[in-house]
Amino acid sequence: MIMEKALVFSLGSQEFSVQISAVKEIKEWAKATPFPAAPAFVEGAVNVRGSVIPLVNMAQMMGLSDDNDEKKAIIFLKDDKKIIGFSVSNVTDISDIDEEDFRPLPELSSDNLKYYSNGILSLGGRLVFSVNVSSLFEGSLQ
Amino acid sequence: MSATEFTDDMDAIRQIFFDECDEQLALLEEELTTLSDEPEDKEKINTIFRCVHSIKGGAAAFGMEELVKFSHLFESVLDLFRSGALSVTTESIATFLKCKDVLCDIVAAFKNEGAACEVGPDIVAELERYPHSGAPEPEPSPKDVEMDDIFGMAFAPVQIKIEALVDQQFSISLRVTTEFYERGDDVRNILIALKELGTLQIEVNTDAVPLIGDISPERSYLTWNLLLATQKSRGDVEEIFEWSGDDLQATVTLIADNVTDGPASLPVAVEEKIDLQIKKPTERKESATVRVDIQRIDKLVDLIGELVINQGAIQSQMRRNKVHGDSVLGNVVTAQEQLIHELQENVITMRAYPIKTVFQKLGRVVRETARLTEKQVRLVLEGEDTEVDRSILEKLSDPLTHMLRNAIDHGIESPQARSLAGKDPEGLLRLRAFQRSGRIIVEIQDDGAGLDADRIYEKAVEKKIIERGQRLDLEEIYSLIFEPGFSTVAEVTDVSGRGVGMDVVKQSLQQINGRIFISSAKGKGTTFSISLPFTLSVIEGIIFKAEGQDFVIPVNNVLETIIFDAKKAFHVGEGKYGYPYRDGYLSVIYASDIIGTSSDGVNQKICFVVENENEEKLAFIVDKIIDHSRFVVKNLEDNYRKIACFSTATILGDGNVAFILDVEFLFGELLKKREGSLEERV
Repeated sequence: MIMEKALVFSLGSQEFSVQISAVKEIKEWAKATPFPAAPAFVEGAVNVRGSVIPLVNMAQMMGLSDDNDEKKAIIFLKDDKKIIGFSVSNVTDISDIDEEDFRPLPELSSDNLKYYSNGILSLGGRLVFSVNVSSLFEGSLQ
Repeated sequence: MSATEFTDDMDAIRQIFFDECDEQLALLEEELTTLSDEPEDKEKINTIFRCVHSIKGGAAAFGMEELVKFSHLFESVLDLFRSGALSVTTESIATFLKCKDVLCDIVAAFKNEGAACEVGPDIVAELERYPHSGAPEPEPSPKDVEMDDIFGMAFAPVQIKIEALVDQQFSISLRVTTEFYERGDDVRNILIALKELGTLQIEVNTDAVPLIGDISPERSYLTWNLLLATQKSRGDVEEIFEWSGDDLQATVTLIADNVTDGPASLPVAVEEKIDLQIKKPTERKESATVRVDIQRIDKLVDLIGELVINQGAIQSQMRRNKVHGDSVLGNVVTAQEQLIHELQENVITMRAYPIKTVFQKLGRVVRETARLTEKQVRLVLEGEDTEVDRSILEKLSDPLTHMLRNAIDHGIESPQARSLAGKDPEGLLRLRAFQRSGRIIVEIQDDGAGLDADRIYEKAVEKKIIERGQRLDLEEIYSLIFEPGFSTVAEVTDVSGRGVGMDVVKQSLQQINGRIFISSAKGKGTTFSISLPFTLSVIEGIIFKAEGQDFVIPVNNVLETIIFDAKKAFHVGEGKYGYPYRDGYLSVIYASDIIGTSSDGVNQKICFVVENENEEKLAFIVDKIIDHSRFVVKNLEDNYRKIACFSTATILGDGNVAFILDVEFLFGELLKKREGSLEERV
């Protein structure tokens, strides 16, 4: 049974996914205007057709890497009220997600990973962390 | 459009009714408050009567019984004045005003989805004291619902409820052939004949009309859906159609006998009336306006904002490609810029409303406060036509309400005290709005006792807002009343003085970039002046570079721009500097302090002399000035959260985001530095 579609993207060498319904837009990465006095993972603000939208380095926010991995794309996600852009290494594809593909995270996972991810998807041998959109928003607006 | 769609639109129609009600109530207020100046003016009484009548008419169509009942009672009393049986006195005006307030309450109750609203027995008794004012029956006499009378009014709902009580309802669908017209007949004749039978609602169905290229001008495309309420029989109705033979197809269905249902289920509003010219459904002489959903205008403002940004992008591309400003392209682009600028100003004025809409609600506040405090107050409004952006207007009502209450409660003395002081026992409260140097000024002036600086000082000491012995000038003492928790009245009154007074006022004014000033003379009165921007969506600013990044500072906070000479800056504490300015010295804030990068300061060449609303000044040091322009304001909180120092941003010509400096933050930073040095001493 197909539950829904997910957007698969990479942070460094690891693959992640978000539900496609939360994705507003994907753009090529561009430098943002830095926010003064914002957390380090906030790259700054970008202009998307007249709206000022914050740009967050997803890998850095999740505590996956401090050094700047190559960033090629920005995924703009939306919740009820806001739109936030997340810079990622690359966008891979869009996959159909089956309920049976879901596996819980290993016990040993870091608190950060448990906070941002709600499970592992195995897509034909690929290991993909499914990311919680609401956690991404909470994390970004800290 | 089908009848079911009409029913779905009922909410929208209700909304229109409430909008119209608000307009009528505002007009009522205006006419009533000026009635005492010209009590003999028949036209005024007529207008007042029409307002009430119009509300009653609408209320009847929507089955709002309490509203019909009360407005009918009010109307029948007004009729006595209109006919000249009674003449207007101050006492009767007071009664009318109370009635108007009651009407407001009932309308508000219906607006909030039928929240119950009791009409006070006092006011009903007061009205019934007038002779021949009649029993409070909701049914108006047939004279009251003459069609002509209704069409003269802004809102022309049909009194379905009243007339339909004895009527039968027929739904008629009407179709005519092309031959019908060829014979020289006209559907109007049919419709006029039907209208003689009773109340007729007409809906034209234009679905069959083809695209303009395919139209054959002699063919008949239209069909009509009619709703006829009549006391005549079906035969009488059908007789009219027989006249035209086969060229006219009509189906008559009886849909209701002795209609008792609420009229809400009837398609009431969008009909075209036969005795109006068909092409002009509403003819209102007094103002040619179009009702537009405010969100559409907001959207327009946003779109023009983007146009301004694009214009900037074109210009920066031109510079990059070395296209000269006096080339043909350059001239076109400059002309375009001018047009966009004009467009922007025009659309922003579309969103502006006269401040009257807020002022008129305040009349009631004043009356009620005066009654509660047993004071006599006359409110004088000036400059009600001054226009203010809607977003500002919305946030102005509460602070003004509070300030007027305060002025009456704390400012204006009791009639006895005023007489003793040799003043008119009736206090004068003047509310004035006008434009001054691109800002809107609203003044609240009372001729009361004035602020008592000594009492304010004592109170502030008692409330631990200041320390005893602290030296303050008069203005600083006055502004203590804006401190949180300050209230000069010993006992909490009903009216004001819950201690959440003036600080809330100040805060809510600050949200809309408003500033407030006080001047006061003991025994003579107090004046509060509020200064407001005309709009919040565009600011005039200076774009500057600091630490390699572009920022914008609002131009109205910049007193002066001077060349910064680093040698003249002198050390006044750990990381703290002063700088000479005119015949004094200013504290220095470096842009690098707030942006959070450290630099060697070699680029710092420009000093903004920045001033805030309290006329405090500081020197703000940046690298260089780039341009002076108008910027479209974007709220950062829309997609992010509040960030210190920069609450808004704009988009530059190159498409990049630039933050707009929040000047109050700089002064906050100054305060922090100062407190820091206090701690050092301890």
